[in-house]
Amino acid sequence: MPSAKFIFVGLIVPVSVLIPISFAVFKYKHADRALLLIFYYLLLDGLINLLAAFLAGRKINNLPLLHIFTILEFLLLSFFYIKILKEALIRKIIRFLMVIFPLICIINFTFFQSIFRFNTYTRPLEVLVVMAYSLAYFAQINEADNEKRWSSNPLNWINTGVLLYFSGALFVYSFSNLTVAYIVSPKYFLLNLLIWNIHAALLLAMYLLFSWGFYICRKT
Amino acid sequence: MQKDVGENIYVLVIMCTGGIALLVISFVILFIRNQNKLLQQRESLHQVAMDHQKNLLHAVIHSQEEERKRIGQDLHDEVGGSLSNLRMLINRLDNSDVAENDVPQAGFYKQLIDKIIENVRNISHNLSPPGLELFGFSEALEEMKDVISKGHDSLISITNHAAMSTDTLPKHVALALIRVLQELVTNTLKHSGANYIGISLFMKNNLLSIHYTDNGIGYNMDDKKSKKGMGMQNIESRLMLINARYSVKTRAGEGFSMFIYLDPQKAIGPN
Repeated sequence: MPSAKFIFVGLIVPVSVLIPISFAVFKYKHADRALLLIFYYLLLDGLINLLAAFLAGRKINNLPLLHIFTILEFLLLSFFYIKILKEALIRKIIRFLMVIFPLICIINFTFFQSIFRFNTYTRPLEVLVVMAYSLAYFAQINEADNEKRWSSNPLNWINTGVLLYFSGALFVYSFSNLTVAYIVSPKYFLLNLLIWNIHAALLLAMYLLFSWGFYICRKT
Repeated sequence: MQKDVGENIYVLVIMCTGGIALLVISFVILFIRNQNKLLQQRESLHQVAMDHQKNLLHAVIHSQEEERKRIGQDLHDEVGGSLSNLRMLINRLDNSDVAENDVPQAGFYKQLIDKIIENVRNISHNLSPPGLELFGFSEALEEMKDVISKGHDSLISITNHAAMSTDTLPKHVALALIRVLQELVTNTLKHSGANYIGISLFMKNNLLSIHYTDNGIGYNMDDKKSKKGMGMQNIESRLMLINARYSVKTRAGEGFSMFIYLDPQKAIGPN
């Protein structure tokens, strides 16, 4: 059981993944392929969190999970954006990145960053690429002749959630090793707590936006 | 040194992530507002187009009703009146009380019947110009001129430099053009007080061009009060149906002129 200081980071937010998951289960029949990929992404998120908490409870370093999670998350989100982006060139680039990025990750944790530390090179790289996907989707919406309101499309909400979380997470992941290194000093302990709280808040915002996206999804 | 940095770094982290979040949120909000505005614009444009279509349809229906009314009136007043007149006169033939010399001569009956025949012919010519069917557009135009000017040849002048292409126009296109010119002449005679009407037809860049002009009082196009009347709406819908374009030039006190352009190859439509 996490102490009071960690209750937001360690309990509330990880458990809150159940909100979008339950919305998704409720709307499972109406969801198309793209939304299903988001559902799988949420399941993966929940599962990894559960495993991480389990390992942490047994005092085992759970950071290797993050390295695996980074690759799986990238692949799932890439599949998602291949489904919703229509431009042929962009889809080709995404397919290319889906091969290259896992290789970069593997090279990174074998040669550069230990699997027991934060992957501060690949994780921010992933975040940047996903931000680019999200912005590409915004550009696509901007170009299209939309007959319906922006807010009536679940994909718009999900895409907004992705952009919000990943752009905020860029800082958090970039400095994660730095703050952990000095964690023995109480000052850095507090700083570490702060940035992970910010991260948790952004994650919660993304979950809530996903929930709304699933909530308004209808069979078309 | 490190102490100072340590005190500020909370603020820095909060400002960085807060700034990014602010950027993203405002980007999304601006994006949504822009999208909604575009949607609204599209909807209102659509509405305007729909209203315009509705007005045109209304004008067509209205003018149809007017036409029926006019035909009914013509039949009733002229043909009906003359026939009942004739009937009354024939009644008197049977009536032996009437003195012999009171009964009109056979010539009078013939005259009356001729008048009825002429009335019927006028009405049916009005309904569909017979010249168009038989002799083509230019003849129908001449016939229209004869009917309108009724002997005052100076009122209307027609120059047709494009008879070659006008006479090969599909029937419905020719009819539409005749109707438009009729409507224009009617408008001129009704409202403008003009004493000269000029119609000229010529080919320009493979387009059939019709220039209609009168020297009447004209009207101010910017004037909101002189909104398009039924006549003009009728003209517009007829021209739209045959894919013709037009432009109007008029000002109060300076007459009225209208250009109609039509690509004979592209003049499609029913039939």
